[in-house]
Amino acid sequence: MNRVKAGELEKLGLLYERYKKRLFGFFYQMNANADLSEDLVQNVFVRVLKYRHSFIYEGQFITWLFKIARNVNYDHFRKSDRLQQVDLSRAKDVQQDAKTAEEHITTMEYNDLLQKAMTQLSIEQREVLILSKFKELKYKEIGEVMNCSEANARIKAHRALSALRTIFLEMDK
Amino acid sequence: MNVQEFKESVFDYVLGKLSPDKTEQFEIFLRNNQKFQSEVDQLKAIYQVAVPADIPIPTIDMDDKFHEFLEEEIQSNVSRNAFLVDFGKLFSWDHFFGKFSFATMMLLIGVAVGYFLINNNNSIHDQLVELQKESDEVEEVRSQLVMALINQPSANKRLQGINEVEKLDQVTETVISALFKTLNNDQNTNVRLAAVGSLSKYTQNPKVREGLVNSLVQQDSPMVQIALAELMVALQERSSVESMQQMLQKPDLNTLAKEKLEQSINILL
Repeated sequence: MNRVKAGELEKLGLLYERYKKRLFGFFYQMNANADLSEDLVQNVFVRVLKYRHSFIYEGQFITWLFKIARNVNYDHFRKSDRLQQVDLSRAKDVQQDAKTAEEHITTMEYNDLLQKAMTQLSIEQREVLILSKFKELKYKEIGEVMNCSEANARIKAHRALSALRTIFLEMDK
Repeated sequence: MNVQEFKESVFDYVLGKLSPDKTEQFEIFLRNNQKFQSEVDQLKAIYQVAVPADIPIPTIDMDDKFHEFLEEEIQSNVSRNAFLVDFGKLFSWDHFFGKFSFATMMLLIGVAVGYFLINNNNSIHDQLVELQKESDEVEEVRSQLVMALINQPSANKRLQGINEVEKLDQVTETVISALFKTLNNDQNTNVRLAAVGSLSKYTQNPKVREGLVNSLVQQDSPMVQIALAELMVALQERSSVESMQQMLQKPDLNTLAKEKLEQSINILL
């Protein structure tokens, strides 16, 4: 990133290749819309280039990147407040390989139910669960992305997971 | 790891945030305490399905859009830098435009200096005008003082008035008229002599010379007559001969004055 900041804009291509899937995954799991997620990834890199001179982040680049991603996501949904109404049940079933038809139906129902449970969480709870999925992001980095302390990020993650389980079990009754 | 530590670590384990060492300790504890296994499996399954690691891959369109955008930015940046470099070169000495801009700059400096000097000169001129104005005001006041003093009943005041005339840079027609009025009509000889002395300084004015010539016949005081005769000789005013000849006809003419008049006539003739 420092080389991009120094004017070697072509180096942004390397950063894009390195982080595009994770960014796409973040947006896709937040809004379950592949086309929109691709556009938002593009917006993240537009902002990276635009604000490259203000990059003085001494921590990991990925933390700065996801801070931008989080803002891009907020800005997109801010006007219409559509984020809460995202239908995550449209998310593709990714664990359906090598299963029997019966198992498949059961898994589909199970997945749909969990996706619906996810929609019941707050935006921040979904964010913290999605960000926790990235191995590079420890609680310290998640706290930096979400503008809170490491301990607070841990508590947010625990509460979000607990809430997801409670909602799912309640829906599964 | 005990039960309390286990319970505190369950969420971190499921979220994948335990360190490798603690993860190992957690899994050992779990193997030794199977009653907790279902609880952990359930939570793990919920999280993995709700936030799957395996998600759709973005399309090639996203890559194309990004690289198109990046290429535009790079070109734009190159153009911007090239413009700055070219713009800098324009002002280098080797470049014709550099010489031209240098000449233009020198011209502008010259204009600026000239403008400054003109402004300064204007400022000086303004100050001079202001001083002149103030000076004119002083002259006006002094002239009025002269006129006031000359018309005073006291001879001393009238003498003081005539002395004030000498302080004037330029006398007005009014002051000249006042001086002649004093010369021809004042009762005090010293005042009239002072008027002759004062008027003798303005003899470059033809009207003053003419007035002095005409004043000769009006004088009764020998001292004033002698002073005027000497002035006529000094001025080589031949037109005064006739006036002096008329004075010689006067029966009560002072002997000294008569001799002076005759002497003056002889010189002028």
